[in-house]
Amino acid sequence: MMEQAIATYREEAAELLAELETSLLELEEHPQDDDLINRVFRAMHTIKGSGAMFGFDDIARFTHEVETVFDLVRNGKLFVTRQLLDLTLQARDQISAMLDASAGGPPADQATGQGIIDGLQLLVPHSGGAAPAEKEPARQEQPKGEVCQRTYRIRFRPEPQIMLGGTNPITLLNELRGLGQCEIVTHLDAIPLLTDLTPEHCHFYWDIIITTCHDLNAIQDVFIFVEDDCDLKIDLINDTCDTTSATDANYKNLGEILVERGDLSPVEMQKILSLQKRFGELLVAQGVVSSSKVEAALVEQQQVRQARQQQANQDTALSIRVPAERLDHLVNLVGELVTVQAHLSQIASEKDDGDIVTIAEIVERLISELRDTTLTMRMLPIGSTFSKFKRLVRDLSTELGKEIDLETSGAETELDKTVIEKLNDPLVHLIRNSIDHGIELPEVRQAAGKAAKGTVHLGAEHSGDSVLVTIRDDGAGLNKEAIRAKAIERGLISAAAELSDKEIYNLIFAPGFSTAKTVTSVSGRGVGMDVVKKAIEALRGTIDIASTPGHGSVITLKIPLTLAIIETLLVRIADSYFVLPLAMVEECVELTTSDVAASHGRNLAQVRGAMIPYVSLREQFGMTSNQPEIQQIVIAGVNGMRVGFVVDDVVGEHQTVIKSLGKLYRDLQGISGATILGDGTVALILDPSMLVRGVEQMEQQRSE
Amino acid sequence: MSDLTISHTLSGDGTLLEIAIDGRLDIETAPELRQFFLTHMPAVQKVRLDVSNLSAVDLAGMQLICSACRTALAGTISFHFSGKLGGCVQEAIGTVGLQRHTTCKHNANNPCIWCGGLN
Repeated sequence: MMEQAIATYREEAAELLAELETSLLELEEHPQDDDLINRVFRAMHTIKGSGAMFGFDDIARFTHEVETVFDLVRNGKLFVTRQLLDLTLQARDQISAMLDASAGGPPADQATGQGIIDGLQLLVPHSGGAAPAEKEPARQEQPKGEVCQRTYRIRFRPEPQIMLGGTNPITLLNELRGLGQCEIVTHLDAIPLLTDLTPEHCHFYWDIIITTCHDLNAIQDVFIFVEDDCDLKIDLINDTCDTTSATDANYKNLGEILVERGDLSPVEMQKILSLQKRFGELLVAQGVVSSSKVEAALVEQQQVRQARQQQANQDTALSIRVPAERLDHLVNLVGELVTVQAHLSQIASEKDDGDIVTIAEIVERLISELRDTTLTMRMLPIGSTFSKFKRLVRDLSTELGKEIDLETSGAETELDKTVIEKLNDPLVHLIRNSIDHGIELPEVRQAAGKAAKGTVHLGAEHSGDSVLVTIRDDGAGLNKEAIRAKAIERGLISAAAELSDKEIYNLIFAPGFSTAKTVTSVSGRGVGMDVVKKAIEALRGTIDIASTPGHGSVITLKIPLTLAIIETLLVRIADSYFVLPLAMVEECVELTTSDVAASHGRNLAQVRGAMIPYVSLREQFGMTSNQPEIQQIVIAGVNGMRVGFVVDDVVGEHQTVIKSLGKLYRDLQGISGATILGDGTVALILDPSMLVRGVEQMEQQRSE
Repeated sequence: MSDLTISHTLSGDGTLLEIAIDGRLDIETAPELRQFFLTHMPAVQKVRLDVSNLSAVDLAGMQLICSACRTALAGTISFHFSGKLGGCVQEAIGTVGLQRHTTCKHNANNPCIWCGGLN
């Protein structure tokens, strides 16, 4: 049970660290934003509190030091500066390293941690002479998953001399505010006339209604140093997790609250009620209860009703945390179901039995819904990945002495969880390239009449069954001549080759290709773009480059929404079946033996006046069966070109559950997986990009 | 040197006392203002207190003004405020929870003229 709780803490802490990073980066842009400051503080407070609860004492201690500094920011005693944010971001990384260490990773460097804390201490005004910060984590916070909200009623009446001892009751009120939603009503009825007033004495007292996820101990802790110097009464008046308590939005009437507080006797209440006027007004008018006490009771009534209403709303929108592997398993099972359903549909059509056909259709509809729902469950907004790149851009631009803003759009666009994870590394490479090669140094930009600060834009949008992820920069753009010269030097193209702009740009995806004159820690080693392309193709995606000299480049990744089940075109060659991703297919045309003869072995087909190169899959796969009189060319878009794939027959669209081929076939070029058809036949999933690349390599070897 | 400056003017007929306080009204300076009120207030019919130049106020300061206000009312002296409350004073009132103090029993349950509804 404890292991499970610890695992949950690790997950939540990782989420909070991501949130912390995002908030810190936003804070850099809006240093006055109290909401952001509070978000940073809350994230650290929760990491610390839950850490202490689950035995992560080192994390709790370290976070406490950082939190203490941010508490000063929250209270307006320290300003948000670049230095503070740098150190806090480093602190975030240190906490992350400590978390990794607790899960068996390499130990976090304690010297680094101490360095961060020392740096933060230097930022604290008068830190040399200030009272030492409390060393123990102050209180423990509920884990994020628990949504228990308790409402407490607090009557806090300090002894008059409390301020003479150096205690400021306002500090205590502020501490309470830090625990949750807090409404404070001050009572002034004990303030004497000037002749009797001792200005150094405290004549105020307070009624506080607080709704919080903390327990009673946390509230008592606030008053721990003044408990002997005050009258303190804390009552739990609402608990959303207590199933025995009322959960409707209605709460006690005003009179009941005042009676419960001891501010009104039941007899007085009855007497006033008999007057049948607005109760609160009557109480004040009769002088039975002061207006501030009525106000305090009304606040209590309002807040508890509100808390209960919120709980009622939450109950209707509860979410649960499910391990990703369970979802993966569910998707696999649904995949099996889709295969079985295809089999059932095929048998039903063969049997010609109305009942079976009806059942098969119902099963098909239900499985279709089940498939869509299951796949949706794995969808996550891509924004979680985007937020990581803000940090990347910030750190790299500082390192390279450039001024760069990262803009994002479409963060809410949803993609399969696995796709998002696999997209991370390619995006890192592409953004690093944009920063290093694309955006110029401020002085260069200004000389070119551009703003000193460059922009990298990262966007995502839906496009059919795919998502388009674009990385756009307003930098120098790709240098066509340099790419071409390098490609000739490396023997990738001949000096006489006539290439379109797109074809030249695509050369940067060749292994080891780099035009960078200097190698930096960021890029220039020629490792990256080919890896990026492979990674995108492994996701069955495509990558496209557009560039305008002096104005920047746009790299567009087209990524399928999911990796598990895809829409394909089922084709046949002799007795073998293959599928092609439908998203890539543009059209199908016939290819007769006379067409083949007319092309004189050049594998070019004329389609509406355009010459389309094609690949004969029969030849490519060494299939010796006789080809039919009329074959079909499936024309697909590959790397911005139209390429045909010749097959015997096009069977039709097919919903394909992707099965991997296993390690033995890992290096097979042109086949990315397999699927099982309704009758149990295996169909191989074709990878058009790799097929084209394979043919190109063969041609190159032949010409050499 | 005190962090609080108290300046005042008395009308020609000696009935209106106008007081302007400038600086910090806190636990250290509140006794000084209390003494000022005790000395000058009983002799007039109207008091007008300008708090617009207060740069900070704490609990002691807030309760002193409240006490002066109710002392004046008890002695049938008309007590008014002039000038707009500064941001720091408004913030202090909000922090203490005084903005909810809407009516005052010392002033016939009329709205509190000091901090009720944040003036």
